[in-house]
This record gives sequence, C-alpha cells and structure tokens, in this order.
Amino acid sequence: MLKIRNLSVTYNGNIKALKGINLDVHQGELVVLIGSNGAGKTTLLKALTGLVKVDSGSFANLDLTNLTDKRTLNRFCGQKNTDLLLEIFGSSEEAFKFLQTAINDEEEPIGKLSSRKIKSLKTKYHRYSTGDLLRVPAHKNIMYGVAHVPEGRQVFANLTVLENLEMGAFRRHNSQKIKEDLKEVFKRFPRLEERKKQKAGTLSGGEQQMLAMARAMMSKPKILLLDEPSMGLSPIYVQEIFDIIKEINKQGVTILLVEQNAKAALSIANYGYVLETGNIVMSGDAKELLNNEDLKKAYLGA
Amino acid sequence: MDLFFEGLKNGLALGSAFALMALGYSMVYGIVKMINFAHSEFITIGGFVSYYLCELLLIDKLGNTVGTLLICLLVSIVVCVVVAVITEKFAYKPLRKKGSSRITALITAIGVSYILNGILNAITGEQLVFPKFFDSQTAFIITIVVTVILLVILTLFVKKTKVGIAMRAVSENENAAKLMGINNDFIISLTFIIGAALAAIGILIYLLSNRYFRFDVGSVVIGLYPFVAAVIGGIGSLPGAVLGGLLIGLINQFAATYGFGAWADFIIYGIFVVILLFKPAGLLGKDVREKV
Repeated sequence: MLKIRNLSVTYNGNIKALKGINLDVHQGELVVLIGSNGAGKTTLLKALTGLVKVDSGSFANLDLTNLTDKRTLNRFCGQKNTDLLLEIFGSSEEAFKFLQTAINDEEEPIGKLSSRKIKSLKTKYHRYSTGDLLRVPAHKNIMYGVAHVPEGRQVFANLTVLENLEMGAFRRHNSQKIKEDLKEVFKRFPRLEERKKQKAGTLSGGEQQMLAMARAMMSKPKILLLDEPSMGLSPIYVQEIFDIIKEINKQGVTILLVEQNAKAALSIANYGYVLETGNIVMSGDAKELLNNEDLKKAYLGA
Repeated sequence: MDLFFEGLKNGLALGSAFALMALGYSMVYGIVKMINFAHSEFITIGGFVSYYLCELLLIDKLGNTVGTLLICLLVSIVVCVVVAVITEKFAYKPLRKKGSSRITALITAIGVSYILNGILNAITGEQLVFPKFFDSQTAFIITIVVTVILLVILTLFVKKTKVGIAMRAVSENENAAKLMGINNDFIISLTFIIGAALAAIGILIYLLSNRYFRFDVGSVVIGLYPFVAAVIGGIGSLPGAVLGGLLIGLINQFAATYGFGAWADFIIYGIFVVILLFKPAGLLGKDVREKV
C-alpha cells in the first residue's frame, strides 16, 4: 500500500536527518518504526505528509488500487454515486474494475450516470487511488486517505472536543455519515463523549491522545500514521492506547506506528523497522525483533 | 446631563466604526500573527471609493438616498477586498512561504501602507467632503444597528460554521490544521477578505458622522486608534476588538464634549499603557503559554 524508496531529508542544507529510507507497509498491516530520540522517526512521518521538504530522488508510492470494498468506494464516490454504481455493477469489486479503466473523452452514459459524472468519478479515482505521496501538499493528504496523528498530540486546545472531531471530518460533506461516525467514535472513546463540550486544552494527556486519534479517525483514513502516541503517558493509558491501536488496525485501517516504547509497540505489530541516525539498521517480523538479542540490549531494556 | 448623552451618543457611533476597523487588525493577527499596517489604507480606499461614487455618479441620479449608500457600500467592499487580496498574494504570501521572520513581514506591511498612501495622495491631496445623508440622530441609529448586526453575524460565523471553526484551528496550530485537510492559504485569504470588507463598512459609517476627510483619514486621523483598540481588547479576540473600539470612541468623544479634546490622545494612550501594564494580553486576551 505504501512503498517508500530512497527517502532523504536534509535540514538547513547540511544536516542529514534521513539518509535514503526504504520501507514498505502492506495493506492491513500494523508496521512499527522504532528508534531512539533524534533518529529521524518524526521527520519521516512529516516528510510523508508534506510538513518537511524531501531531497530530490525521494519517493513514496501510495497505492489504494487493491482496495475494492464498499467503504472505499463510498470514499471515492460519495454515498449517492456508490448506490448507483452498486445498482449498475452489482458489487463494489466490479464497480472498481470499471473505475480503473482508462478515461475516454466521450464516456457512454450508463443508467442514471451521465457521461460527465462518469468522467469525473473516474478522474477522481485515478487522481486519489495512486501516486507519489511526497508530491501531495499537506492539506490534501486526507483526500488520499492518509491521516497523521502528530507528535505531542497537537489537539486544538481552544476548540471543544466536539469541534476538534468536526475538524477531523473537515473534508467530508455527508453530515448524516459524519454523525454516525461521531457516534462510533464516542462508543470507542466514552470519555470523549462525557467531555465533548469541554475545551480540548483541559483534557489530561491521555485523553488528548485519544482525542487526537479519534480526530484522525473522523477522516475515515485508509492509512494512519501515528507519531509516538505513548509519549509522556502513565502506564495505564499506554496500555489502553496500544489496545485501541490494535483494534483500529483490526477494523481494516493500515497503520504505520512510530514509537520509542519498542516492547509494547512490537508486541502488537506485524512487522518492525529500526531507525538509527537516519538509517534503517534492522527490520523483520515483529516477533523476531522482540527476541533479537542486539535489539533487546539497545531498546528493550533487557 | 445633555452633554453626557451627547458624548455617549457620539462616542458609541465613533467607537462602532473603530470596532469594525479593529476587527480587521485582530482577525488577521489571530490567523497570520502579523500586524497588517496596510489595513489603515484599506480604510482610506473604502472612503475614497464611496466618496467618488457619490460625487461623480450617484448623487445626481439617485439623490442622497439609502440606495446610493448601498451601492457605495457594495462597490467599496469589492474594491477593498480586491486590494487586500492582491496585497496578501504579492506582498505577504511570498514572505510566508519563505518562512521569513515576523519583523520582515511587519516592515513589508508598513511599506505597503506607505505605497498605498502615496497613491491616494497622488489621486487627490485635497480636503473632501462626504455628502450629507442623514441627520446625526439617524446616522447614530444606523451606525449602531449595522454594527450590532455585523458583530452577531461574524460571531456566529466564527463560532458555529465549519469554516469559522477551521479559522480558529488555523490560528492555533497551522500544521495540525493542514493535517485535517484545511487549506491554510484559503483561510488566510478569507481572513483578509473579511477584514477588508469590515474596513469598507467601518469607514462608510465613520463618514456618515465625520464628513470632512482627506487621503490621510485612515493613516493619520483614524490612524492608530483601531489598532490600539485591538491591542487594548486583546489582539486576536473579536469581542476584545469591539470593546477596545467602543472604549476609545467613548473616551475620545467625552473628552471633546467636555472641552478636553486636546487631551483625548493623552487620556487614551495613558489608559492604553496602564491596561497593558496590568494585563499585557489586553482586556479580553488570553495569556497563551506554549504547551510542550
């Protein structure tokens, strides 16, 4: 789903923060990137969502074309068009096969779908289903199904909890669906519902982390980038946060998790990478990494 | 007692105009963290556009009617908005994209202000007289009604609408807002647009009661008042800008009414300094501490 190749970032013309990273995240996976302070973990996520500039030659291909479920179709086309497409093609898989075909200048109208509508749906699909993520401006990532929960949570402290969540759904327009998703979010995070009228700045650190994640989920992401969600939290919250991450992943959201808390992160992940001063120095199955002797010494405190 | 009501009435009218103008400073600061000194020129431009429309086109045909004023209002809003958007696009935005320091942006703003002022001076340096539309009583009522309506609309917009909430989000954390899919450039342009529109409305209201003006009405006569109003109230706070505007308008007019006109600035700036000594963030401003 996400294929990162030769990703390099240079700060101030000479400080190399990332030195040619190669990293893969397959659909449905929970991949963890561990590393100590200053290894470049945050820079990597920021580069992916356009918050820092990358060096030329960097490349991060995002490919959503093998997602063919109804929810993805809805994402690309909206509820009304999804219903029409399903009526015409029978299944979302068939509908996607149609959307993937080349765009003709003169599309044949099908059923209730006009030629212009078909063209615009296909164009949208072609634009947002695949491409180099590094070329997407920061505010458009969410259109590609990429949500980034930044380091230090960065909730909007002067906005209420509810307003924060509404901002998560900023690019979505079906207010009915947004309401339903809000209910779902509150089911998963009951504490946020209790405090929905409260300003986000008055929440505890753990609650703010939950809000940051809930806010990202409100955009209905396909891939979630999490930057040190456990940072500065009490052990009880850390466990809760990791449980929630696992649950989100189980529901089909692909996750790239950046963590210093290597043990907890690896124990819920499928695959892991170890970053040291801008280089990937080790990678492998999460279970293997957990048992790796070198890693144990350096990161797992054994 | 009559003197008191006279001062109160004139003060509220002048203060309302200042309040509308102060909102432009305050909103732009809230979003871009930059003091747009060219705002005073937007104010003058609005006045010029309204004046010339009245003089050259409308008065002869439509007379001194509300219709004339409405046309003046719409056209001056459009012109101010266009000037503001151009200024933002060509003078401020490139600086922002290069990540230059705030002092650079400030100096640029002062530069733009003088450039626009120079153009206005070249058009005419003469004393102009805005036509009389209403007696002072009617002008007062219109001023108050228009101001209250605008404030209610603006508050509802910022508090309740999605774009308004996004505006507050951008003002708090630009990068996090981007990650939500909010286009910062759009929000910034929108802020300048709202500020410029309020400047156009503010000067028209001002001219209803203060008919003699020149090219320096925005930069010297009204001058720093709206800016000071925004700071006294707490820059970035909308109710603060209104409170500051009314306060300055009232002090100014009470001083004039009771014969201390020459002391008005002394009193206003004295209070300004004292307020900032005790409340550096302004009356309704929040002391924002960066959270780590």
